[in-house]
Amino acid sequence: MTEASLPEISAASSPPGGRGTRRARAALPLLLGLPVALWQVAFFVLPLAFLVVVTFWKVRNFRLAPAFDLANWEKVLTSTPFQRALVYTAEVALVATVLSMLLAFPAAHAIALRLSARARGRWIAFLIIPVFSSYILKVYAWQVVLSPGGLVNTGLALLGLPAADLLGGTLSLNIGLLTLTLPVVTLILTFALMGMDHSLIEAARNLGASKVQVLTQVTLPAIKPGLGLAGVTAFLLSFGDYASPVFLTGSNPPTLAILIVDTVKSGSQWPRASVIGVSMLAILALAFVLVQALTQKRKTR
Amino acid sequence: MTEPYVRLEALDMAYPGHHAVKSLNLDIAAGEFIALMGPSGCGKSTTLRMIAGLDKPTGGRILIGGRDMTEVPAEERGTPMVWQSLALFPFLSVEDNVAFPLKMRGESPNARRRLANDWLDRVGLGGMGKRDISQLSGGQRQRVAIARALVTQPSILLLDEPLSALDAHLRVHLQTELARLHRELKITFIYVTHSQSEAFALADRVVVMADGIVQQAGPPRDVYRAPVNAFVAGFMGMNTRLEGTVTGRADGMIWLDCAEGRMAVPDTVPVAVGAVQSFVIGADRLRLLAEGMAAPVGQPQVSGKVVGMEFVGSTQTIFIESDTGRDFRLQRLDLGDDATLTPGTPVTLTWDPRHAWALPNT
Repeated sequence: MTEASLPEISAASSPPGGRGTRRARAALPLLLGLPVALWQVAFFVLPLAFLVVVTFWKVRNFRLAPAFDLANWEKVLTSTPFQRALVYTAEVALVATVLSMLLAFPAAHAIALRLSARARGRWIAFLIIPVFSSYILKVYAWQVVLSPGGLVNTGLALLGLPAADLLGGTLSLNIGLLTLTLPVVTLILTFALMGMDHSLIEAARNLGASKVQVLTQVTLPAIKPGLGLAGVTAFLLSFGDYASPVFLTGSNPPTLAILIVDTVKSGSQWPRASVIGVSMLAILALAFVLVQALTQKRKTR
Repeated sequence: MTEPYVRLEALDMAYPGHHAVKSLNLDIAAGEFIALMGPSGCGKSTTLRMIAGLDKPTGGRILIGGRDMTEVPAEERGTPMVWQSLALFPFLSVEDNVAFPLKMRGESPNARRRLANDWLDRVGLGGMGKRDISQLSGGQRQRVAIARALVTQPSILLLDEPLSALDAHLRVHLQTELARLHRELKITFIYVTHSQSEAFALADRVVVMADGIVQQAGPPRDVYRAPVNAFVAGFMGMNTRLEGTVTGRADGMIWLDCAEGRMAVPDTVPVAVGAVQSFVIGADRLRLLAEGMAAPVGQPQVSGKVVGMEFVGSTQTIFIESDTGRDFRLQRLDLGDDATLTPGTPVTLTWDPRHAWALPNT
């Protein structure tokens, strides 16, 4: 008993009390965290489980019927539209990820390492505000701007230039996706750069590293976890996005998100739509784990 | 001094609202171990950073080895630094940290590995090259930082409070090691510290700075024995300062009339009778007289009362206010009689006049 209670005595700044009260005190933080945990279970874990279960169900007379049938998986995974959409969506998400990283890094570098504390605060606020405004609205605005009779083409017409076909291609889709990813990616990279030990940069210069070497040998390795997080976030957002493909490419070619909606609309194929949904989640989880493994801090043995 | 290796010419650093370094002139010989010391904000670290090229001076020139380095970027100066924060790269192994400057120079991987491991052996970290920085103790990390700075065989090493973050035992240990490295390498060490003991133990010459100005430069013994002003005197622990009117000079002593009585100080400064002269006494030179005892012949006698006491291991510092309202700081071996020296206790002080030091009048 004496031995067992030793660490508690040394650690206890709390007034002496029975074991019960101490345990209650330790349990309180857990108790306060419970609502969020319950919320997550009710609205994420359970629906996800249900989604997985539904992939094995059948549709009879436009109604769901419980079953254990692998046919949905087989049907979807081997279908050409799904495979095409999968490749296309991955392609689009990768391009958007690379683009947003390339565009965001210089900005984040300038904000985090070049600006005064005051200017930095303003720029960060400037990046946070768009995150809170409606994305659908912004994509819709892009549609108006880029449409054949939209702002850009009206401007071109006024200058006597031929109209440009801006809507409905890779360009418009990436503009839409960047609207979504760029502020977030810039913020993540900014915080990562602000969080790194800045004396490392000075030390590197002091030890003979050129500006390029400082960047490639010190700054980028130092924020590797941040780079991973930024990349995964950009990929996640653009891989699962529905608004940009719908508004800016007219769902053509369809991405996986659009394919889900189409599958449900045409014949209430909830199980097949679920297969697509679960596949998307699996791919995202895989990407997340992969990047996590790649960017983890170096560990020796 | 022969041709200096490092020459700072009217070096100036003015930040908005803060003049950190004011027209600093300093020559440092090749192979010299020099310590820049002073309280925080005195400009010592800024001076070091300017030598390294990390801060750009707002005025003056920096010459290293006869070459004007003022406009040369940090990465081309060859002035490696050991930082208080160490600034080791956490994402690199111990070996790769030490090899970093070699990699920047484009050395082959083989040469890098060999040289890095040679240096790790040299600082007592042989066989630890593959470890992670986080697996090392504070003292071991400090050694990695030193090896990393020396691996390119520089002719100068800058050290910015390198031992401040270590515990007392390790500090002394690494101090010895730095002294050994300096002896073996025979290169210029510029060492910034706020610690008098570190500076004195290591440096050939100390430079005491305050308010961006060099107050005094010289071998530790000279600076300690003959401070040129009240600031340096205080920084060297001669915190007790008295002043009086000069009444005459005799037998190598200046005689003064002070509020505390008639005093003598060694005659080291030119003074005129009737002028006001101040002098300082080292805390370790003051003595407490036992109750009822008179001071030895020829020694002053000042009465006052204890106002405070500090206990530092084997020594104790006693703060005394004289009846005339002056502050005396006395340091002595712990005699185990603290109990009788509670605040308010009346005491009588004395010292050997030969240990007093007249401050030059500026």
